[in-house]
Amino acid sequence: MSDDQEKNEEGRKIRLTGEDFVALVLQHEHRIRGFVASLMLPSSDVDDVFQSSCLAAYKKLESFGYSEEKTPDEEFVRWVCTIARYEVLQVYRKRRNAKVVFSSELVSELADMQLRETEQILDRAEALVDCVDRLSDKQRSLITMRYREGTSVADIATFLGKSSNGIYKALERVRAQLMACIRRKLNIEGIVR
Amino acid sequence: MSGQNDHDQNIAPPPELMRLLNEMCDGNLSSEQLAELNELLVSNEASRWSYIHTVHLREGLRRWAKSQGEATASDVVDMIKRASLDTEDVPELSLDGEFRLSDDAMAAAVEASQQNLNGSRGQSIRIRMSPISSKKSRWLKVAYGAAAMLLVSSAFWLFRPSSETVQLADATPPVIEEETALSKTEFTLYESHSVVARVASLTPDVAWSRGKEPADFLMRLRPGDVIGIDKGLAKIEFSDGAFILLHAPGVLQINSGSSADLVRGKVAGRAENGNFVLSTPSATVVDIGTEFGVDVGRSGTDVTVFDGEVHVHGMLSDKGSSSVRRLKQGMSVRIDPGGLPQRLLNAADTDYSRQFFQSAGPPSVDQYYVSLLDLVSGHETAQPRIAGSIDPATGFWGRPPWIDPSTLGTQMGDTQFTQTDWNPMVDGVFIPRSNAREMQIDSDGHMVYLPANSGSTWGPIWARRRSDVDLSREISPHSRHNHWGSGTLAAVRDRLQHSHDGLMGLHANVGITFDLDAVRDSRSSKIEYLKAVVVNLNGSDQQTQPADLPLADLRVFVDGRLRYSRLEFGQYDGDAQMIVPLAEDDRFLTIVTTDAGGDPDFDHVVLIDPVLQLQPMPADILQPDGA
Repeated sequence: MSDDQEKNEEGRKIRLTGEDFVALVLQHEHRIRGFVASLMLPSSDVDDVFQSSCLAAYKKLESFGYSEEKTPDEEFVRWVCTIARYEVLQVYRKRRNAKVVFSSELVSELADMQLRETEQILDRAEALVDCVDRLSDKQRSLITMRYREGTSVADIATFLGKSSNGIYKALERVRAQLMACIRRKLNIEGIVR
Repeated sequence: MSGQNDHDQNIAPPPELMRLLNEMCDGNLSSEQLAELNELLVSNEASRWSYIHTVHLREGLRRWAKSQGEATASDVVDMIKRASLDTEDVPELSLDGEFRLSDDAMAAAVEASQQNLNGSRGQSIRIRMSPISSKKSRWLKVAYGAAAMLLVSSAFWLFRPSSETVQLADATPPVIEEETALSKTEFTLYESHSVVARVASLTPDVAWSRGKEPADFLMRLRPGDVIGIDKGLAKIEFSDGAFILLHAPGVLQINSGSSADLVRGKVAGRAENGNFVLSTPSATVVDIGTEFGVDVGRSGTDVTVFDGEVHVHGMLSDKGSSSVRRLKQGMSVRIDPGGLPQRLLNAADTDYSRQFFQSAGPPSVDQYYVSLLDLVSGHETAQPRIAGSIDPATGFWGRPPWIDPSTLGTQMGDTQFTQTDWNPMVDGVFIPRSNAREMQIDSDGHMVYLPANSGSTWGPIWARRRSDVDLSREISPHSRHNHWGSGTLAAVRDRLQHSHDGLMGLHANVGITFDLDAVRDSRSSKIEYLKAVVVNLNGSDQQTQPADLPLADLRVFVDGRLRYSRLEFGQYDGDAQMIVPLAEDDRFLTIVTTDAGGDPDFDHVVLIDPVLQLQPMPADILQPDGA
């Protein structure tokens, strides 16, 4: 493609407004956060990096465009995740007290894998919603307590009159059940390779 | 690093990796386990995929769980209205979630985010929403719709200060406060069948006249109710604020929240608000804000003014009302049976007992503790009341929700915490949300997670002091007034007679929050702990198999933190002693009952002798006789 063709192509791309940006980030927050968390383990640093990534992306919003033939979602997620990847590495470099859990090489590999397979990860996220619906009321209540409120396992145990170990086991069972459900669902739909 | 994908992504990870991933999800990964995980991820792509999927599963669950918090579009609209300084821009917001952030909002969001990253805290944000253009492409409408939901559930990530505290300009809940304030003004009762008065207290020797005892276990009175006593004194409290002390032998008919008929006998009355009307066979006495005595006998009606002023109308048998006699402090008049004033008498208030109107201080035992029964019954902790109740939906003390046969007392919760301004000792009441969601439980805004329940309850939160009155004549277990309506009353009555102070009833699903500071202030004393016996009296007089009996949960929170729980207990689980230590800075004490995930029917949770211990005292004083 010549430089002129590239310029013309670039010129035809649709730009996002600030409002579009907010809407897209909020819609795909879990995917971007999941990406960030995978590079540095789930921790309090994830929130900071997620925010700084979004801010950096917003500042560069003019550089992002999408073709009118399709929706911007996947391109947008890939774009913000790419920015987030460098934000993670930057945090590791700048903040000595940041909990460095993976080598740069492993971070890059984990990022590349996900950026190659953004749609598959999206399929799994959508399957998860269906699978959660199949859980029992008690299992869903457990999830709500653990993940919405961030209630500690010890507090949940006190609240429900169970042992902490019992709650850990219950959470393990829920996750295993969901993983199995997602695998079944995607196998049936022929999505997983 | 191995780049070979030698495992299908759709194969479950090996147990060793699974164990590490579970520890990671629970936040328990040790340094050694982290190194182990690192090694697995570096060496194997399948492990890396398992790891990635597990992290995304965790984020997906987090997103799902947060989406359960605010599930309706109207919630979003409410949120937006509260968040917006200029609500005039909001009405066009449609309920299908089509909205957009204005440039101002975006700029404010980015500015706040930047300040957040720079370490500033407590930034106030102004958000204004405007309708989305109809020309917007479909994907954006979908995105905005999703964003509308997430704006609520994700706590405005852009606006979140690093302290995790979200401060939105004017985001305080004025709407809720206004609604609450409005509802409080409706304290005067409104329907003809509503409760308009109650028996506030009785002397120990009181004996009810046959057929003239209060039909209600909680001794609430409706228009038309007639009460009579052959012995002792009964203090009647009217919803408009007047008190009547009925002397034996005497018969009183309740007409409204501000009027009654004295059929025979004598009363001492106090109506600080004025305009209380007491009618006798020969006279009508209108209280203009005073204390007075009225005695109905064969010679007619004697009216005496102890303080203030009353107007007396003679009821002429053939000519209607006679002229008005105005009586002031120290004056008396007799109206003969024909309705004519006969003579003025010197005030002789010694003929009337006014002991209940004088605050003589609490009984000696109350120097050591405060009974929750008195806190539920009213704010005069120094004057124990025999019974009281609070409607958990409205916070009113008088409404008899089961009086309407079509509802039989079932009340659905409105998911709101309702403050009970009329009673400074009680912070508020609520019926928990039906689904497993956060619930505000006190006026400080503490939120707690309560389990899924039916979202409905039956009748009021009630308190009933033990008395030496013969309860067997008070009410039939099969009466329509049998609150809780399941034949539990016989068991309640039995436990009441064997209690030290009395019982407090909390039919699942309800919550009540007490203001410990108000109690401390009223007693100038520290509170050491909450103590009660917890029991479920569901259908206790019925021969039901244990497996068929419903179960209930009881939880006690202090300032939003769980301090005690008794879960899934029924009639056959017996009594449990509850002691909840309280610290000096503990403010709000919340007691919640829920239906243990089942049907709310017959979940009759009772607290026997619930007290706030003020200072050490001999253990046997608080020990209920029959608990």
